[in-house]
Amino acid sequence: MPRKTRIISSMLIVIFTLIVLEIRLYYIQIVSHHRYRKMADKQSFSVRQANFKRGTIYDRNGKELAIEFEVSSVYAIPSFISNPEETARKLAPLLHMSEKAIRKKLETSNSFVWLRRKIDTKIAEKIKGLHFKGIKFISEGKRFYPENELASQVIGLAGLDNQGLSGIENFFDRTLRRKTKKTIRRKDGFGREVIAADTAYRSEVSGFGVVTTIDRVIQYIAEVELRKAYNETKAKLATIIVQDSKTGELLALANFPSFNGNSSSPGKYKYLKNPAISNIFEPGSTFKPIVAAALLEENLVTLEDRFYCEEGVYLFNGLPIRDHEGEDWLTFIQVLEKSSNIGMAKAGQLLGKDKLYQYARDFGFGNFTGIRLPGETPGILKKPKDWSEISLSRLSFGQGIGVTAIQLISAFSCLANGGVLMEPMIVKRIVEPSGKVVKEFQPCPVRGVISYKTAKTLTNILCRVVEKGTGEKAKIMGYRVAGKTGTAQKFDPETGKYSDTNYIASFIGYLPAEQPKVTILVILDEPQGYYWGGSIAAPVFARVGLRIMHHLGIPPDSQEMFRNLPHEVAYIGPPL
Amino acid sequence: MGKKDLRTQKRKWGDPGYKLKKGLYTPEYHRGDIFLLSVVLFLVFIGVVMVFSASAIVSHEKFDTSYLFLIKQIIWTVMGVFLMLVLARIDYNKLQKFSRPLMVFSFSLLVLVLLIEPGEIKRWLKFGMVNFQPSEMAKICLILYIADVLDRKGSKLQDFKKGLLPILAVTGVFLILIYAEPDLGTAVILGLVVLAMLFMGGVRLSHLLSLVLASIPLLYFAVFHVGYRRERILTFINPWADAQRIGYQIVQALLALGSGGFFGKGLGASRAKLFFLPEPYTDFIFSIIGEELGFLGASLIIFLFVIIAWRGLHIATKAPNQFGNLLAAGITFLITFQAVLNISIVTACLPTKGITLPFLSYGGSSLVFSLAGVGILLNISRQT
Repeated sequence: MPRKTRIISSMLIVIFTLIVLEIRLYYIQIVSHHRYRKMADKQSFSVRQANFKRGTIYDRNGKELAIEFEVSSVYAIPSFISNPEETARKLAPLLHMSEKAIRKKLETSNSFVWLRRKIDTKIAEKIKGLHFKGIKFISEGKRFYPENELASQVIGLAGLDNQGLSGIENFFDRTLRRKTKKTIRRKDGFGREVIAADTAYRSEVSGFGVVTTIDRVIQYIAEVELRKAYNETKAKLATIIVQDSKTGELLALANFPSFNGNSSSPGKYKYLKNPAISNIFEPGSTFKPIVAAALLEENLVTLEDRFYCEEGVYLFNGLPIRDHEGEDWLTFIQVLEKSSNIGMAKAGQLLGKDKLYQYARDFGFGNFTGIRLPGETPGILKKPKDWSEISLSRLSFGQGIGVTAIQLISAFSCLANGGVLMEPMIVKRIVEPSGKVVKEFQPCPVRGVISYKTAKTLTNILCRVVEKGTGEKAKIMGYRVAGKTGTAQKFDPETGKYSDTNYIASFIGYLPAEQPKVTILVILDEPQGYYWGGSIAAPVFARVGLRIMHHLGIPPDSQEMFRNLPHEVAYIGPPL
Repeated sequence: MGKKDLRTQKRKWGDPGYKLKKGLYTPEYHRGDIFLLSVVLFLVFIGVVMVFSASAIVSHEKFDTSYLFLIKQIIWTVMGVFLMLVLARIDYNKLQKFSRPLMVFSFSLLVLVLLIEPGEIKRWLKFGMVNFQPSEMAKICLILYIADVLDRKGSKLQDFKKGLLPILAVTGVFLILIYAEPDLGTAVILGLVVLAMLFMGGVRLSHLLSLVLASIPLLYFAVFHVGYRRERILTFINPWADAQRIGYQIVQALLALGSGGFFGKGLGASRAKLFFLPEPYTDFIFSIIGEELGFLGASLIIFLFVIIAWRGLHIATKAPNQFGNLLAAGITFLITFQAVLNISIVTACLPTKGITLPFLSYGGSSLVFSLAGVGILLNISRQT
C-alpha cells in the first residue's frame, strides 16, 4: 500500500468517525431532546409555595406593631473549605458553638450543610468580614414585635414558619401572606436557589400591611394602668377596652396576664386566647343601663317614678334579691345611681320578657359582634320561652346572661352614640407595602336601638351615677363622665349558687358626656380584698380616661372644671 | 500559485522574500493555508467565549471573581497564537535536526514532574500561578521524533528488530512515564497516534497487527487494576445505574447536551454549569456548547474539526518531502483524533477519560501545543 493511500485512509477514518459522532449527537440532541430536557428540568427546578415577606401590622397612626426583618442563616459548602480546623476555630466563638461540632459539620461529604439558622445580623456581618471560602449566607424572614408585649393579644402571634397563630396575625393571615400560589424555583447543583434575572427576589415582594385601629399611645396608657390595678388587686384576669364611641373603632384592648411575642419561651402560647372577646361573664350592674334604656324608650317609666326598695331584701318568687344598702323609696334615677337590684327587678317587670329580650338582642347581646378577630363567642342569651319565673327579674340587674367584654362596650358606645349601635372595628385598612390603600374598612352602623333623646337622657342618668352615685371614683377633673359600676357575684358551677367570695368588678363609661369621644371598659376578674367595681375598677377608668383626654387633646369643660371643687385648687393642664 | 510568478507578485505578509534577512524564507514559500488558519482561530475564539461562559460562576464561587479562567485562557491563547505564527515562519525541515534534543528535553521534563511534584497526581509542573503539563509537550515532540525516524530509516522499517524496535522502545518509555503520572488518557492517545504514524509511515501491517495484539493485555492490566478506572468502564456500560455517584458526570453531560435541543438555550444560559456538571470548562466543555448553542453549535464544532482533518490531509499529501508528509499527518491526526475521543466520551460512546477538546477546553499547555502543532502544519502548507 503506498504511503499516500495509507495517510488518506487514516484521515478518512477520522472524518468518518466525526460523521458518526454527528449522528450520535443528532440522536441525543434532537431525538432524545424531550426526555433529557424533562430530566434536566426535574433536577434544576422545584415547585414551592411562594414565600413572600409577611406584611407589617400598624397602629392607626402608622407605627409598626409587627414587622418581618431579614436574619441570616449560615451554611457551608464543605468541599470549598480548605482548612476546616482553622475555620472551625474562628467560627466557634461567633456562632456560640463548639469547635468540634463545627468541624464535624465542615468535614462531612455533603455538598451543603447548615451551620446555624437565624443568627444576629451583626454576627453575620462579622463572619462575612472574615471572607471564608465556602461559608455562605441565606437571608430568612423572622417576625419581630417592636413594642414587645404591647397589644400582643390583639396583634397575635406568627409561628416559626410565619403562619398566624392568633389575633390579627391569624385572622388576616391570608392578607399578610398575600399569596399562596406556587412559584417555580431554580436550583443549582448544590440545591441552592439561583436568583436569575427573570425571577423576582423575595424581599421585594411583601404581603399586604394591616392598619389596626389601635392607638399605640392609648394602648400603652391602658396597659400601664391596667397592670397597676392587676398587681394591686391580685385579680385572676384583668381586661380593659377603649373604644371610639362614635365609630366603634377599638383604640386599645388589653388583658392581663399577657405575653411578649418576641420571647422565645413556650410559656407565651398559654395566653394566645383573647379573653376580651372569648370569655363570657355575667355583667351584673353594668347591664342595668341597658334595661333602663329599654324602659325609657318604651315610655314605661319616667325619671321621677318611685320604686320601693324593701329595705335591702326582697323575696321574689321565694328567692331573695339583695341590695348593697337598704333603701325605702327611690326614684328611677336613684335606682340607677345607687345601683339598686330590687328597684331594677321591679322596673324590669314593667318591661316584660319579650321586650327585654328584644332590646338585649338589639344592643348586640347573644350574638357575634362581627369583630375581625379569631375566637369570638356570641355569649349566652336564652330565648324568653326558656326563661324561668325569676329570669326576668334577675336579668334586669344583669344576672342570667352571659356577655363578652366586646359586646358590653359596644352596647355602651351605642348609648354614647345617640342610640346607634356600631360594629366594633379593629382594622382600619389594608395597604400595600408602598402605602397604597387596598381596602378601607368604614365604620359600620348595625342598627338604631334607641332614640337620640333616650340616649341623651340615659347619659344624664349615668353622669349622675358618677357625680353622686356608686361611680364617684370615676370622676375626672374637667370632664363630665357617664358611667356605671358593676360588681357581679360569680356563679359557682360546683355549688350551683352565686359565690360570696368571687366577684367580677367592672366599670364602664364614656366621656366627655356631652360629646362622647371614648368608651372605656375596665374588668377585674376575681380581685382579692376590695371587690367593688366602684372602688377598684372606677379609679382605673378615671386615670386612663384623663390621660386619653390629654393625649387626644380634648379640652376640659370649664364649667365642669370648677364645679364641686374647693376654690383654692388651681387648674394645671392644657389651655381651656 | 506557481513558483514562477512569485518574483513578479506584489509582496504581502507571508510571501516569500518579504523578510529576506538571514534567509529565513526561501523562494519556495507561499502564503500557506489561510483556510486552516481561519478555522483554527475561529475555534480558539469559540473556545475563549465558551470557557468564560462555562467557568464564570464556578470561578466566582471559588475565587470571588468571574474572570479568572477567562483571563488565563486569553493569556494562553495570545501566547499560543504567537508561537503558532513564529513556527509558521520557521522551515519545518530545520525542526528535524532538533527532534532528538527536544525528545531529551521532553523526557527530562516528564521525569522531573514525577520526581518533584508532591501529591498523588503528578501531571503538572507548577510555577506559582502557571501550571505546565509536560505530557502535552511530549505529544508534539514524539510526533516530530517519529516523523524524523520514519523518514531516516526508510527501507529499514520493514525489519522489525532494526527498524521498529528502537521506535517502540522510545515510545514505550514515554508512555510508561505518562502512565505513571497517572494520565492514561494522554498515554492512550499518544500510543494510538504513534500507531497511526507507523501505519502511515509504511510499517508492515503484520507488524502493526501483532503490536496491537501485544498491547491489549497491557491495556487490560492498566484499566482493570486501578479501581476508579474499572468503575469508569463499568459506568460507561450503564451510566444510569448510579447516576448520583459514579455515573454522575456522564449523566450530567448527557442531560446538558440533550436539554439543549436544536437551537440551544442561548449563550450563557446553561444550567449544567451551575454546579451540576463538575468542571464544565475543561474536558466536558462540548456538552456546555451543546446545551447553550444547541445541535447547531455542536455540529459546527464537529464540522470545523472535519475541515481541519481535510486541510491536514491535503497538506500531508502535498508536502514536499516524506518528513513533511508524516509530520503533517501526525499533527493532524493528533488534533482531530483527540477531538474524536473527547466528543465520543461526552456523548457517552466511550468511557470517561481525561482528554481535552483541542482549542476549546480550558488548559494552557494543551492550547499552546495544539497551536504550535498548527504552526508547523501551516509552515508545511506554505511549501506545498
